[in-house]
Amino acid sequence: MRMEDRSTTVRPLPRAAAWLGLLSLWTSACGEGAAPQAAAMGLPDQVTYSQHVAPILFQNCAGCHRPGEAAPFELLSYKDAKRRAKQIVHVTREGIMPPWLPEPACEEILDERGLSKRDQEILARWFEQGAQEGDPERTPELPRWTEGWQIGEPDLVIELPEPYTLQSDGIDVFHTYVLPIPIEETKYVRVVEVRPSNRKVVHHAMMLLNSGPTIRQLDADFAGPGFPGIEVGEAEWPEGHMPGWLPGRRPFTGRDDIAWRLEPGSDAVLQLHMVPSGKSELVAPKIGFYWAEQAPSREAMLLTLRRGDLDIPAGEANYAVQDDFVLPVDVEILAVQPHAHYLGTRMQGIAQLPDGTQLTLLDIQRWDFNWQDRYEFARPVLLPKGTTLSMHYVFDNSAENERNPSHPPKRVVHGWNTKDEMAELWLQAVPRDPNDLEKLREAHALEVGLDRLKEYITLGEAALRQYPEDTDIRLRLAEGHYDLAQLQSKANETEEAEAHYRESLRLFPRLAKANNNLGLLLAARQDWPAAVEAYELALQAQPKLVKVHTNLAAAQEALGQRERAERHLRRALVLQPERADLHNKLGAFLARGGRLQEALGCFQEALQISPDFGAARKNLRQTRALLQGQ
Amino acid sequence: MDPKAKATVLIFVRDDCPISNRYAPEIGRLQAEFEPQGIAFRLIHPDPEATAEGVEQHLKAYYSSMQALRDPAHRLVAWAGTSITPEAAVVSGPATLVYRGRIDDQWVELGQARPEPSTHDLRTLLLRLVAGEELTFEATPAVGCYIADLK
Repeated sequence: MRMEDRSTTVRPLPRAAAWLGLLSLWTSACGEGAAPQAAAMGLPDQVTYSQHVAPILFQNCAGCHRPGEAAPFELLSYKDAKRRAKQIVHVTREGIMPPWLPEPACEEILDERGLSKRDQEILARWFEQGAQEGDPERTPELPRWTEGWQIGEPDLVIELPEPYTLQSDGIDVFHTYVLPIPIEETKYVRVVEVRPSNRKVVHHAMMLLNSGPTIRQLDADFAGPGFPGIEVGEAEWPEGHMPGWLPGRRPFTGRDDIAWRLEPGSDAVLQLHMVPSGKSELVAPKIGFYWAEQAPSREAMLLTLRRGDLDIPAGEANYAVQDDFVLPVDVEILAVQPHAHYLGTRMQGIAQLPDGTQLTLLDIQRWDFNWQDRYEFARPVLLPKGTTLSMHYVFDNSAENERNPSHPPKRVVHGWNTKDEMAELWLQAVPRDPNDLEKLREAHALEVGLDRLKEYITLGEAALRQYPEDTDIRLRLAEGHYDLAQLQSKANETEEAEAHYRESLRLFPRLAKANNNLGLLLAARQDWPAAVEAYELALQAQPKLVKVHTNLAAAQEALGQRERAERHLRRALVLQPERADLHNKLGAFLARGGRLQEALGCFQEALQISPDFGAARKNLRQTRALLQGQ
Repeated sequence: MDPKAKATVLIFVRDDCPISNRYAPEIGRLQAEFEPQGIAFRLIHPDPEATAEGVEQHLKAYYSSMQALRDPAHRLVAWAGTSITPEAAVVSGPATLVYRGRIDDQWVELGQARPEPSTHDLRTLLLRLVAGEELTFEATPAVGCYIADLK
């Protein structure tokens, strides 16, 4: 139902040399007497396993449908296929298999899985014609797959202290391990391979790095290895990478130029999503690390688009959320990974370039939590500075959504539990100019900070509605608005900043720092009377705040209220006489007012306290010169 | 069918059907609940390639005290009208088919399971049966592997 016609050129290169033989088999077998081109267009009259079906299954299915791999049955032989002929037609026609969520993106995605319409028709015709074998001699050889570690022996292997026993029952089991990484010195990791050991039941695995106490505590508190659930605490993806294991992935050799740094004292946090099989199973995963030859020349970072304030009403079928980030520098996007829980439906990641061009990084029409994946682009997607990255996700919390874990539907909020929801899009990004990494990091941190504060405020407002008399909540919400306003100010979002300072003060009028900052904002706009009003309110609440006195003095001076300004400058000095800069300030004020002799005294005072005070020394010299001129 | 039993539950299974296997714990629970109340349980293997040893091994791996029969010629399949594994057929008395269909609605489609079932069709029916209710035939759709593929 979802699969579009995919041309065969989109598929990755075949794995074994035997493939080259297939092409000649194909063209010679199809259509007796018809020209090869014409025959290739139509379906074969007689579809057999050996000639037509085996190649399709080997190329698209056998990677997972073979012993020791993720699928619960094999598709390596005629017998295997015949026992599932009707099933194969069903799942391929419905787009259930091969499992692949995204629609085509602006750039080819590696390891893309999909059957062309033609391949689907061949399978259907094979079944209709009685699932004939054909001539077994003509069956192609099976592809050759690498067994064991996919890219050779790792430099370091870590494993669970003992195998985990997966219960027989249930639909999804999540478990997290915290495994110390025994290294003595800093290492650069080119790539990590996670071998799940029991691919029938391990649905996927993710590896993060941790050096914080939260999940170490969770691990210690829970008897037995690891702890249930996927709480992460302080753990993070390593520097822009998303190591783990997903079914059907081709071995990824990594890139030396963006190897990530691993410090001693870190833990590998292995999160396993497991699916019980009906009987008890043992799971004993291993993690293999491959070091890079040298320190990386470039660094990747993970940009995160997310919403942490999800609150999906029971029954809501179209809960839409969005998050954006504007790139401050030119960036290459190497890979993307979406994340949500059961209720996600449509999930998109879009890049809008400054010239208006829109690029689709990710387009999933129907999310399936079971097939979470990391999508790596065949070639990095180049995005210029000023591009807006956005995430658009939709959630369905209605009873009609059969994937809804709750019957009847319940209100769902943001959280790590699988009955909660999440909305995140991770993008592995490398700045085109390595020197831009700091700038990118800062901009991202600012954006994340702004978002989190906004979410904090949303939650705070909900709490205040519930407990309107609670002064503690009120103050914390005021602080939240204040923090947000500060960040917005830093991000030059001055209108928003003003609004949040005012909201902060509406909630808590005595929040002096909010009045002070609001005053500064107004002063920057040269709205002096309003600035004065704000500063005076601040001083009413906290009369001893020195910086407010000096700020107020500046505003009053601008209004020509010199007597008042002087009063406040002197008041500041009374409060903190040891501050050379305050003496200097007063001196400068007096000098501006023509009181040069008095000004001199202030500058000298400043220099006595702080002989290296360059500005005071300069002021002193200039004032002396002016006096001499008179 | 067990002549002493009030009713018999036939569960059609394949040892290589992952959904069928994942239902083993639930089938075991139903057996534990209803066998003492006079309901017999039997696994039916419609796979013509199933061997006695294979069936035995399968029982050992997934069940503790279940019995299984092979149905290579699909006679029971034809009689019960089942087409999927796992699929249940409930026989009241010696030969009255009163139910054919899923065990519960946890599986929506191949590869798609609900986090929890919202209906427990087989259990509900068995409760009605042991309560003495007069049952007329009911059917529900089942999700799983095709018996038709086993020929």
